[in-house]
Amino acid sequence: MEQVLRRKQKGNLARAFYRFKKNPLSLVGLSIILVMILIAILAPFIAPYPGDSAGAVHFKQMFQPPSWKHPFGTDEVGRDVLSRVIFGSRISLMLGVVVLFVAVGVGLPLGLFAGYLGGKVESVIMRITDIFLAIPPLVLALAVTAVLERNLYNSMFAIAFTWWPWYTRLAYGETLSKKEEDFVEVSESLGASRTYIMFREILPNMTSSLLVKITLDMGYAILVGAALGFLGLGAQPPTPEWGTLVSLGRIHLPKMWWLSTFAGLAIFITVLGFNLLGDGLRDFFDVEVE
Amino acid sequence: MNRALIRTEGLCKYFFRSSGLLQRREIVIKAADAVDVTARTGETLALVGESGSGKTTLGKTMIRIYKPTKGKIWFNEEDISSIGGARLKKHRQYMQMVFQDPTSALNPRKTVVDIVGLPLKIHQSSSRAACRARVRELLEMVELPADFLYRYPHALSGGQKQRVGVARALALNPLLIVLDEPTSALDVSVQAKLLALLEQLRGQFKLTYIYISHDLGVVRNISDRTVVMYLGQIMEAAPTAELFKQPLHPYTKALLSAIPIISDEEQDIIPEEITLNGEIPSPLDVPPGCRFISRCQEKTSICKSKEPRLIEIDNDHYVKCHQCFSSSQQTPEEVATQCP
Repeated sequence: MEQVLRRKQKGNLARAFYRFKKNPLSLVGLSIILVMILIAILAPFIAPYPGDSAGAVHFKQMFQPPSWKHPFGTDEVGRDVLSRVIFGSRISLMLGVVVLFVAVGVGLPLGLFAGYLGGKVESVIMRITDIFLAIPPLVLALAVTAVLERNLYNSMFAIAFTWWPWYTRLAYGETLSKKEEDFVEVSESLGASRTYIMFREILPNMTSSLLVKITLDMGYAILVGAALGFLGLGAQPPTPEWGTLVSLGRIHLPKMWWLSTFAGLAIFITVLGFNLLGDGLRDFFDVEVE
Repeated sequence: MNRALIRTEGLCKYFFRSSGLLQRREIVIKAADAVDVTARTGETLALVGESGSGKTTLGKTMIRIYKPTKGKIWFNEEDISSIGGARLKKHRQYMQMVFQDPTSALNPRKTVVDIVGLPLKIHQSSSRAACRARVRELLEMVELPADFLYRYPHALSGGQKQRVGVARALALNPLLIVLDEPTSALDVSVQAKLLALLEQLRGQFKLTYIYISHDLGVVRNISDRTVVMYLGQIMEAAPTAELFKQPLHPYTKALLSAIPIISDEEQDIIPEEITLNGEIPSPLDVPPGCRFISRCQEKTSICKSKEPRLIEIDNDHYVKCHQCFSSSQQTPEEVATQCP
């Protein structure tokens, strides 16, 4: 009988998916993201010239415009742009995942502690958060990367360094409202530990807003990563990072337009995908709250 | 008369606000102010009063959901007002609460089995299977079907949610349950069923209830004794039948006169209509003298200058009003150490 009851809960999931499907744009977003992830995973198999992702050099075929052989053209040393853009998806997605993993991992517990424990803990955490939020994220990330060695991993660190306060704020606000609920008082009166109350009673109640924010932020984080790459502070050539590709192609504009355009389009589509998906999720969770 | 299960002595709960950079604490609200109250084993003690009279705060402070500011709480002959840690935890399993808003009382992200099983997990570290078996038993006690085990609260009606709350309160075989307006969020038909269930459970498990309510009609039917609160203090306390037959405090009279009359029988009980003017004053700004003075229709000069004491005017009937003594011609016998 237990199995039957559990299956009923799965019915809820199916219903949730049905509601999600009713918003066609979010479905478009979801498809874009799924395709991106597939491309990233299968990059070595679908890229026509996998070797071109790194420092290969084919001077005989440099600056070729898009053709059947090279659908996105070739770059200044004759590498296939399509292959490089495909491999770039790996870097951008990884950057987004790592940045948000760190930002959520650091920011979320801090917000929970500040909101639930209150007092001095709250003052210290929230004032530090305020200081971070007072500096524009890109500027702070620029400052951090300028100090550190310029590579992909340091740029990820720099972005995460500017990103966690947003999750502290989110978790703090949600905790403040949720800790007033009676079920928190019940757990307290039963003698549940603070850790249990924060992570098992309060945290599950913010998953929906968290999920929406993470999805939207994936797009922004990728954008900031690309911006750092464009400014030469992120991944260094010959890494096929999208921002770096746009930057390298910039000097050959407008004649050799294919160098920057396709990498730029890739950034555009990915960020758009995450935004559409995030908006869709937000609508979906709003319905659930009703 | 049964022995006292829980008894408070001068129990105070103040809420503070820290202000300024120096985090200076200032008293904002005296939600419970020197309250002496006793609940005897097996009885239903009703706490009544308007919103803001401090009845919920008093209930929560008595069972140590809130930490008292001052005063003592004797539970099972032990002072629990300032204990903590394992000693408090031991007592906590005997004191449970059912909340006013059943939606807020159940975590929307947990299934019924996890919600009702939480007390078992914390206090008895039961295995999952044992926990599930006990939750099933508890659901049966509150007359809910067993297939509610894996439901989430949003799939339950208000009355069903409140039954889940009652099941959780029963999980550890408590002695005392504080019921904070358990029916006020429910439909009338559901209210009656829940009250009947609570009555049945009280007999079955020899529970003591502290029933917080502003519905005097319900209080009259289910409680043994009634305590009337106003601005954090007790105005009058008496066996329920007596209180309804012979209310002494002007505030009690006004409350009783506000009960809608349905039958002729009720007509005799309810005093003539007395309309209370204005709102309950802010607990930030309690008037000197008698705290009911701003709305009292029987006030005299003494009420302004001297705060009356809570005095036993008749057997087990306590009242805090100067006028009651002059009218009944009794010598005020001060019983500050005794509790209603």
